[in-house]
Amino acid sequence: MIDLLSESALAIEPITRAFVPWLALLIVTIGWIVSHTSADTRERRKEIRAAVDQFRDVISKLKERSVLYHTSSEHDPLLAMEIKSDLMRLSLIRNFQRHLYAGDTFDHIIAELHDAITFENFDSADEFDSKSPDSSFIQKIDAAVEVSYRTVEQYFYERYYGKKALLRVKEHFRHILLKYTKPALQFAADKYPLAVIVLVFVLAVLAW
Amino acid sequence: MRTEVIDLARDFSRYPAGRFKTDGQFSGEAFRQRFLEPALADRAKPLVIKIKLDGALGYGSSFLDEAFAGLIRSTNLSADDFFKTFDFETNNKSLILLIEKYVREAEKVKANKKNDRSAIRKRTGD
Repeated sequence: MIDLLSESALAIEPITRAFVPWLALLIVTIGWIVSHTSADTRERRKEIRAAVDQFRDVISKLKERSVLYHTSSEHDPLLAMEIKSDLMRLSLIRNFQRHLYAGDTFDHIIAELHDAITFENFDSADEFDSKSPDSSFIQKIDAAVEVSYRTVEQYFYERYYGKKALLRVKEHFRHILLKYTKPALQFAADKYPLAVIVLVFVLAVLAW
Repeated sequence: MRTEVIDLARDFSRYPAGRFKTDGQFSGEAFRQRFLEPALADRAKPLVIKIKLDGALGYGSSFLDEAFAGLIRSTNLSADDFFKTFDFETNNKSLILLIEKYVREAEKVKANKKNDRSAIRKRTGD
């Protein structure tokens, strides 16, 4: 029995020897892809975090300025201009939304902020009416700012740490497996059935 | 089809501000009366007006409302015709969302007013 086993082991030895360098190369390549992808993801996450922080900073400055504008005793054209340019700046930073799979959510958020701050009592010296800090007008601005903070953080968390992130990664790998592995195996099985059987056998032996 | 291009920053002002003419010479009302209403006056030929919004330092919602939704309030133009006629070009999608919102709201208000008037007429028997 032992002789038989050693004989069959000897018989497959040349085949395994032929595959070992390729297998090593394959493992090295996969390792490189995995480490490169994770480093790339880490870098991108840092960049997006920086953009999210910048987005939050501009919103927080915008809130300060708009509260100051609407609670001051008279219309301040310089402050009004700064508020408008802050709103324009937000639309330039918001390009990170596609990395968070947020669709055009941030465009809607900016539009809401824009509306809350500049629709009424803005850019008009004649009709300017100083608001009290606890008025519903200021509360509306505060609410729009809060919604924007919460939404941006929620999208960032879900993209990188939430359950949805794991599901998305799983879905991504499943998609790749289905897209490439299955047709490749089918093709190989059709063209070189013996080679596939040998490969599976060798892998099984190596695993054992 | 005729196409007109209005580059707001180049043709009007890089600093548009205010709702009414009393707020300044570069207000929404001034823009509407100087550019939009004359362009719409010749309705014999079908017309597309392309408006470039980039290049200005920023827009207040009051400017956008008066310039574009003001057109719904001051003319017979419907919101659907508005979107067929005007084509906005900008990198800032939030501006287009705001214009859409104000135009739809203006049309709702106009429709409600019409309904109110016809209801009053019915009640009074005019």
